[in-house]
Amino acid sequence: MKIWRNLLATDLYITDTKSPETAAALKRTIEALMDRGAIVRNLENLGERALPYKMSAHSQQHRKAGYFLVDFYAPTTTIESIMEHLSRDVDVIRPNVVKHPLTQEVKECGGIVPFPVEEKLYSAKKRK
Amino acid sequence: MAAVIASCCSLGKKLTHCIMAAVCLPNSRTHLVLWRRDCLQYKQVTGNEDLPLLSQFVSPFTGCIYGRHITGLYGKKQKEITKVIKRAQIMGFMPLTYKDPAYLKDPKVCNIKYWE
Repeated sequence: MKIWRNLLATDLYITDTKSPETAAALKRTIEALMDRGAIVRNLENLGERALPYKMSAHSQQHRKAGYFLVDFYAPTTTIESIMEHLSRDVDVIRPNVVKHPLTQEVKECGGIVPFPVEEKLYSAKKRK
Repeated sequence: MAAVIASCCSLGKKLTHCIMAAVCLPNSRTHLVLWRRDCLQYKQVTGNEDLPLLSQFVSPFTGCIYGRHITGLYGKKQKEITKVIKRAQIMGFMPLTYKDPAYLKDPKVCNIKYWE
């Protein structure tokens, strides 16, 4: 099982973040995840913000949304069905599933390697 | 260097752009900034933490991602940053055609001069 990170931009009406509609939508989403064999690890609310650009989903246009972040374990084969289900949900504007950043190794960058200018560019080769 | 400039000027369109690039070639790349450009560690996707860092590599006027000659990053890092910026834009964390106004006053990492 791999760790995935799910980022949802969910439709939010102009009422508070604690409205029962958002709660119901979130519950639906997480239940859908668990139905497909995912183990939900964490759910975070990244706040309600104005979207950076106008998004249209399900024949509606949105300018504001609540952002939610779900960490879960799931087998790689079920991601497709999860994404398909989420794209059908009316309350979810933009679902995204991404590999969890903590699973990726930290590669040390060696910085800028000095480039041997004379060797590569000014080689004394015979040109025909 | 002269040969390069001449060939760029002959194209005609990108005249000023090429001259700017020649002028802005950095001798010392030590920009002591909140985030040192030389040692960018691994990137995270969720823009909520890294958005200010990513917005430093984006033009405030057009929102386009700066090229290698402006950022001064080497191959892999430039590619990584481009990918992460595109990801954040598509997922709805970062704006496409402008720079998020909250990050307009961040320290300048890239070698770009704006008309004032």
